[in-house]
Amino acid sequence: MKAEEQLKQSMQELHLSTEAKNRILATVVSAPAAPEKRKKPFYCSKVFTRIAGAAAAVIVVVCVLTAVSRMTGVTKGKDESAASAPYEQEGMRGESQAAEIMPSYTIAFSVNVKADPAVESNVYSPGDPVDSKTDVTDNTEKKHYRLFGWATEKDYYLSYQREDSPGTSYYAVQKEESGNNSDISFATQISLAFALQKKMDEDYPAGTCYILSVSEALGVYTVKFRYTETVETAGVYIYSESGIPATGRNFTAVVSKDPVTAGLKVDSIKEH
Amino acid sequence: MSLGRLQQEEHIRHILDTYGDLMYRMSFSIVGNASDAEDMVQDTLLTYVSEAPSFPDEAHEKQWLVKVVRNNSLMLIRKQKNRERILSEQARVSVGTDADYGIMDVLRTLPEKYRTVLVLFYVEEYTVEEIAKVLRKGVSAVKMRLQRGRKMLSERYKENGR
Repeated sequence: MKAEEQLKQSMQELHLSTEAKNRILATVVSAPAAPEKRKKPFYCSKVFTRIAGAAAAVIVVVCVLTAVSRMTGVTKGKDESAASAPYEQEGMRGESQAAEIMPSYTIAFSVNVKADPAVESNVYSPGDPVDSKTDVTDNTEKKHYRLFGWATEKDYYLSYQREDSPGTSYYAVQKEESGNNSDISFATQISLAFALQKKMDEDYPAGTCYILSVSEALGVYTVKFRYTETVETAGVYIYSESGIPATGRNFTAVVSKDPVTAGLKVDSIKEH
Repeated sequence: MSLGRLQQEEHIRHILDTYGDLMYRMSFSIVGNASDAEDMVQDTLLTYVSEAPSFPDEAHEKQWLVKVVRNNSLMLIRKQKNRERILSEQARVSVGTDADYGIMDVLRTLPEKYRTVLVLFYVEEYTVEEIAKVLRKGVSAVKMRLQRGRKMLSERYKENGR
């Protein structure tokens, strides 16, 4: 029998028992019903709608002006920094390339992975030999990393192995398809994850950073992450939908762009 | 018991009779054991009662129920990720015969995105277009998942000597 047929047969044997149905029914029916929505008086709702509309219009204008002024500032900053250090930040979709320089730890890396739908991401575990490879050099510590990268339609998987101490500085970055922060590029998230991992390596036992969320304001990133102490899976993971352990130590880090080198700098890490 | 309460009970009973097994199987394919799957069906219906959503037709209602039970099940898994080992044992107990838990074990080794598509397509006999609507994905993405999921299921099933 084919696997699909076996699956169908087995699944169709699964039924909610009458007992379970009765239990569910009793629980659900005894739950309080949704409160009725109160109707607003016509006059008030009309007036408030107009006031709210006017307020929203003002807010939109202010936001647009702020955004324009901020964009002008950022562009200027980038132009200035470009002369002193190469800095490139692009999404890593398709045949894209991303390069980041981080001043404190300066893991300069470039990735050139083709989005190949034929590559089955789930076949691999981080560290497996894969199709696209390139070398990575840590410019500050002069340590040599080997980068493995592969991609599917939407996911990118990267793993880094430090060749001088295999097994101790293993990094993996993974993005699941819905992404935890669609407005922050994956390249930036990778850089943030690396910066955090390096910092954590200095101050905490070997472990894994799970990036929970990243927000950005005026070039300062606030990164919330969970840290689990485990040597076996030490690395960096950017997760969105699943895979975040239920237990672990929660931290918030503030990371900013270094105005001189245009890299990333971990300003503070607080446990909470 | 008031008339409204009676009507609500009738309606919930109707939903349970019509979509109960669908929700249960969907959840089971994700959480991997009977008691959690039952709880997820219950949670979904509690949400249904508390939010009292309105639907233009039954098809939309069915879609909503599938989405919510799936999300609830994924949330449960996320919260309790470290219970993989326990799930494995429970799934064996809850499904029954050797042949059954063989394919269910294999199914559970697949990533969730493939599991959901396979269950909806092969067990619930959804069309690719319907699955795309439920998951809010493109038709081509669903086809791709179906193709990969089928391949993985088949390969792993063979690997296990079934």
